[in-house]
Amino acid sequence: MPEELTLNTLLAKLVDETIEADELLQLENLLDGIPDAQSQYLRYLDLHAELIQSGGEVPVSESQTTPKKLRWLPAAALTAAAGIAIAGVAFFFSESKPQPVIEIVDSGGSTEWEGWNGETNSNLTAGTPLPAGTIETFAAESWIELAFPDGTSASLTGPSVLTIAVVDGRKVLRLKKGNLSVDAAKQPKDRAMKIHTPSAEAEVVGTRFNIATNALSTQLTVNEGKVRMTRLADGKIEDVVANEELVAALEKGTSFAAAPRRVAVHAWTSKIPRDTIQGQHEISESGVDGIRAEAHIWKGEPNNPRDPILLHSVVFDPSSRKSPPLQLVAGSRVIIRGRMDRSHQIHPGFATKKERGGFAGKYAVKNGSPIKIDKGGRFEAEFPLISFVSTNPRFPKSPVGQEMMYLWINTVKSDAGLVVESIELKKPK
Amino acid sequence: MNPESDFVRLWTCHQAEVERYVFSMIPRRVDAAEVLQNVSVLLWKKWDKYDPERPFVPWAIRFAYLEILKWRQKLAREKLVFSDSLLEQLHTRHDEEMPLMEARQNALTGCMKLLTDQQRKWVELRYGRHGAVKREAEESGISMHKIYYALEKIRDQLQLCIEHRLQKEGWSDA
Repeated sequence: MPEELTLNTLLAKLVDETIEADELLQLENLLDGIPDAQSQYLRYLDLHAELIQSGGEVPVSESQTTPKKLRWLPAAALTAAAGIAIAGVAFFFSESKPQPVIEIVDSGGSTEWEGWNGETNSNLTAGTPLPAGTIETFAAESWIELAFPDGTSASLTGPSVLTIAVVDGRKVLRLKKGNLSVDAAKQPKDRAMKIHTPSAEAEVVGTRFNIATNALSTQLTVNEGKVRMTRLADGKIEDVVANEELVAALEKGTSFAAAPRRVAVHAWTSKIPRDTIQGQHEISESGVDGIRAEAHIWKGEPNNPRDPILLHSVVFDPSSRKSPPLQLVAGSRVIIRGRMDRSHQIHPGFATKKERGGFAGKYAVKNGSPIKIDKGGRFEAEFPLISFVSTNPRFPKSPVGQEMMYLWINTVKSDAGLVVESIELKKPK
Repeated sequence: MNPESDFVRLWTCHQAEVERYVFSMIPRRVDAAEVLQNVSVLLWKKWDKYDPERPFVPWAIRFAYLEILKWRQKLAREKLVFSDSLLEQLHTRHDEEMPLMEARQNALTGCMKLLTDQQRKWVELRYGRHGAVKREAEESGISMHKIYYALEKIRDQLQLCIEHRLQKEGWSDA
């Protein structure tokens, strides 16, 4: 039908951004007051949006495309939805079991994998093969190391969400938030690994790099090789080579140019709330900024599950986007100042990355440390670096030479009203 | 959980759905990205009014619609913008289309696999790499017009395939 052809041609011009003003008017006339044409318009635009969001990729299997989400349906559509649900269930069960694409090397803390069909696994122990899906590491203490069959490895640390798929032999990762380190084996030239974040896209042939993202910006640090980065806000492309870093932000007017990696520093004083990852910002009656510990449940390590316990945690990121890397040197000290409702045990710890990229390990003060508060409820505690010990035999015994990724302070089981007012990493005296 | 982390969790989970809605009303990618940013800021401002018993996406889409109207008013003198009246009709129609959208996305996956290698290449150029169509046109000597025409035909083919699949699965109103 010529009308439909005209509508589709106009829609093509619209989405390809080649439409002229008179053609837009013509399209508006075709749509105005005509429900069928409006449906056609919305379906066409939705197809276009889906292609943009998937980057034009063709998934491995039909069951691996869209995670099933519960969706709200308007009342008028409920009858139709009931029929849809039945069709959807039949469709699911006819699918063959998805093939594994990665294997877990090791993990710690609270982690979970969710497959495209809604299947979940929170027992992510070493050696477990996983099909395409989404991996979430929930808390500051959480981490997971993954390996692809070609030797490429990826580590996810802290509160992070990563979706993994292999599309026609190409690895496609989507980091929604958090920290990802990749050591990529050489990828086929026409199947470069792709990493999508909310603000950027990276193409990788074979290299080592770290990528950290939130909803508004992505920071890339390349340790070996080259990564091609596209900023989504304007489509600008930049190549980042070894020992360079780049920030892709959605904010207007921000620079997008690779720069030499900043020289590491060895001392740091927290800025509140800027450096906070977890906890609630509050200001005391005397006007002091602080971060109040937030409750969450700890279920032990995947290899060593235990009865759930309640933790109250504050987590800081000393190497946030605007700060240089923070390298640990022998003899350093961590000084924590804050207040509590009563004298109580606190459990400090931190996660590190290697100097040239990749998750390194987690270190904590064994069995915590009893803290006595003064009359005003305040405390100051100093921990020499040597008191932080590796939490897993796989990690290097000492964190010296590594870079701090984030640092946490917990109280265990009971809420002592912990508020951290400052943390410092001091150089050796 | 604090309000901020609750918001971030829901926004991360459903941003793609809200983004698709904004795209459907504002097809220009740069404009849609700007409006989406404003939507996220507005939602955060209104977060204390959000009732967690209610679904997040329709709540977010209501505010997205208001942001779209605001954006429309700002560009009222521009010719390349739909009228308020048409935006309102499309918004209403979007509500009715929503239940079918997820099924359409699933069907699209199967349809993508039916594309020829050349068609997949065009799709990947257009949607996978920003500015790649222009570069391909320069390098291959094929005109941009021809590539966009090929893409138009591919989208038509995908649309037909989706309709066909949905009808086969018993979606009478697909």
